Amino acid sequence: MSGNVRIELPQARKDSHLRSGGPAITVRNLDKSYDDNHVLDDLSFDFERGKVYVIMGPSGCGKSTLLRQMIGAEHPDAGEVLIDGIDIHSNSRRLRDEARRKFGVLFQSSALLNGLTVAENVALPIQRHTDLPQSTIDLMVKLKLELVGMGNALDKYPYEISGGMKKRAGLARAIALDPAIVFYDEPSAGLDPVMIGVIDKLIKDPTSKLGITSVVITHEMPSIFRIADEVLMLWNGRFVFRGTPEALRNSTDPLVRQFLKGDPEGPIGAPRQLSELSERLIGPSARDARSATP
Amino acid sequence: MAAPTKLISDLGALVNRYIEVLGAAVKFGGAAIWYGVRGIFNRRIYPRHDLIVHMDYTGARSTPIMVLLGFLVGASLVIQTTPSIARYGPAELVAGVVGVSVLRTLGPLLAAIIFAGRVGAGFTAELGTMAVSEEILALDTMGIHPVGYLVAPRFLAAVLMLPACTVLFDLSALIGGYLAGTMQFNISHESWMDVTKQFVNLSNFTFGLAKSVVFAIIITLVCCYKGFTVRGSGMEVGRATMQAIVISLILIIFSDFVMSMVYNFLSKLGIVE
Repeated sequence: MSGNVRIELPQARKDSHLRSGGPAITVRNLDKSYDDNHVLDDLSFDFERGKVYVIMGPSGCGKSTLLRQMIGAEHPDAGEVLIDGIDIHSNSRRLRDEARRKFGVLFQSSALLNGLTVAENVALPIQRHTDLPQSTIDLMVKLKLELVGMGNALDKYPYEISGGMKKRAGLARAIALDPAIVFYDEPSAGLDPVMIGVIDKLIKDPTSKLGITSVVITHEMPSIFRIADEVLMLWNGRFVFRGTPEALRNSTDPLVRQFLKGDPEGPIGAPRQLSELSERLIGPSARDARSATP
Repeated sequence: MAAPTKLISDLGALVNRYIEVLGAAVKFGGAAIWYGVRGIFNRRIYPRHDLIVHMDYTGARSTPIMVLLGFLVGASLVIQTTPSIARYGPAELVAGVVGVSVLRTLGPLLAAIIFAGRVGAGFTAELGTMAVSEEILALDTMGIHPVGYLVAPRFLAAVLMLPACTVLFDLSALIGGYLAGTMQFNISHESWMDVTKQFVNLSNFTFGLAKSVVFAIIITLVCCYKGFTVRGSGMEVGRATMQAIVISLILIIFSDFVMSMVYNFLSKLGIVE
């Protein structure tokens, strides 16, 4: 019976619910260190509304740290993050909550609450932030889950579904309150290529249809070229590239080139390069012998 | 000269770190109590259903272990102390020893230790796993206070249920003691009851019950805090659970000692019985 229910998807809503005409996200002079490790170094940028921004960079370059500062999960050492003009690290819990209502987050692990069903997970932010009757909440939940193709898994628990389904359920929860901004932390990690394509479409479609601003942390190259309006590459706590996917493809920057080609030799040091390893194990003669070989 | 300076600075850093952790733990405890009380009136802080689930898990499901162990502790106490008592006086005095020691100390203390092992460890493991899998962070980014949503119902459930478990434990221990005394050492029902009435008064029971409330607060806050602060992998969850139980046990036994001292002091002043 439920398979025959037709649900109208929400109409395009270009205005979202950003109040100001300014950027969706503003980051000013962001600085973050862990002990002696300077992870974010005086970062400043703006993200306009209605675009997909991809932040990429080698592992350990500070992508996740940047995301954690942007969603207010960690306090920066210096600088500020404004979500639609509101400081996400404000001392006032009311202001922080107001900023948080403007965005949803799809976590790398999906972060669904394991004690709740998929439907209850999606209902959670709606119950917390609205006074809607349960019947309306149920309808909204079904609508969001249909949107991500999960209409048949409402009563399943997170541990009963696959990784791809968890990602989609996590996305349904992230967009439950129609946020103006959605953050995605490595949305394609651990998924097969078809599921990556599905997730990419789910990122791209709402952005163009509903005017949502999407910030995606990933290093999945095909995804980047499929979804990004703008790409930012983070390296040593700073952005070394910002531009369109086309500009990324044509970039001559050695860092960008090495990252795109996946070359282990280059300015981005691989954990331990082969030449260095052989030199350490066999001695400098190994390198000399190799270079002497015609 | 460098070594003493380094020693002082290391010591300073250590003290600083402990004060920081203590501050965070006190803030955490304050939030748990605040949201626990507020949640009674505001259904948005945590679902009412969660409180019932935790009361069932912490209380109702602890019943068999409390009854069984209470009974055995009471019976063993009588079996092991009666011969010594009988050497110096009438054996039925054991009824008084069992009554007072079970109600004042053994009951609340052992019930709390069992509760920490059964319920507290569960809290740390559950919340630690949620912390590692970013579920706590997800709640926070949804604007749902994680302490209010996750800790407050556990806190309320434990504060209500540990005293209930203590009553069950006390009762079972007294029955176990009574059966061992009357059946093993042929003490008559009447003399057992007479001695019990002479030794035991209501304040023994209420003091034990008050202690169990303090123990419940200690267990929940320590175990939930250790769970919340787990970082890294699943292995850390195991380590945090072990630490939570060790800290809980130390604090329970230490606070029992402090409360006994305070009670004795008040009793000398005639403020309590």
